[in-house]
Amino acid sequence: MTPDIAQIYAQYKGKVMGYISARVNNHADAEDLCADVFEKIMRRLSTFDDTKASVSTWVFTITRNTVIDHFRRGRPGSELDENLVDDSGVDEGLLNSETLTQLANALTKLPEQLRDIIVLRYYDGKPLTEIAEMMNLSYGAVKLRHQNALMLLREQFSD
Amino acid sequence: MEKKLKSLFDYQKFESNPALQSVIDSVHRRYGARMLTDEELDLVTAAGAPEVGKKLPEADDKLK
Repeated sequence: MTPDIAQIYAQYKGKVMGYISARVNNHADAEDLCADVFEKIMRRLSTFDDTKASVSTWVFTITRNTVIDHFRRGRPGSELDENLVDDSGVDEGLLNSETLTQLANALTKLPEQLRDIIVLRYYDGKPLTEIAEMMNLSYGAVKLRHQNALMLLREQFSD
Repeated sequence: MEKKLKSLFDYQKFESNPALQSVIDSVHRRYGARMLTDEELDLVTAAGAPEVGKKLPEADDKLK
């Protein structure tokens, strides 16, 4: 069933704008991009397939790709968030609230330092050298803990 | 695994799952003072050197 554009707009406008604003400093650019996203959604509405993705994942993918295109167009002073690049090979079916809750549960089971490293590295996009400084640890110690954290998480999220 | 984590945390910035946000917020509380973004650091730099407490030359000093 084709979702209703008015309903999508009402439900996702805040999320789309919030995601874009976190990456694009210029408010006018952020508003233009938000409008682009909903224009694309409207144009592609008939191609939406709920057997492949939820509405949320679909809207998110369009939003993320619109932000990536914006940075690739090379706006002066803009820098592409490394977390936005190269997510090829990741199953978009994983992008749902249930998996996020599973990740939260897995993180709470990790020792505190390992959890901190994962959040600072993958949510905040900080390099391990900076994380080492923040945690008052050597780079080598953080690198080792990072590998341990990935190993423990891999056990819960098998590829 | 790294790509998966990057994608999931990126999706979290859109979806704001409460359970995961609570974990993220608890980490940020521990490192709050050290979590200044580049933009915030730019603002600090733009503010320049603190001159507020510097003693201004007094009239007597100028005459000396």
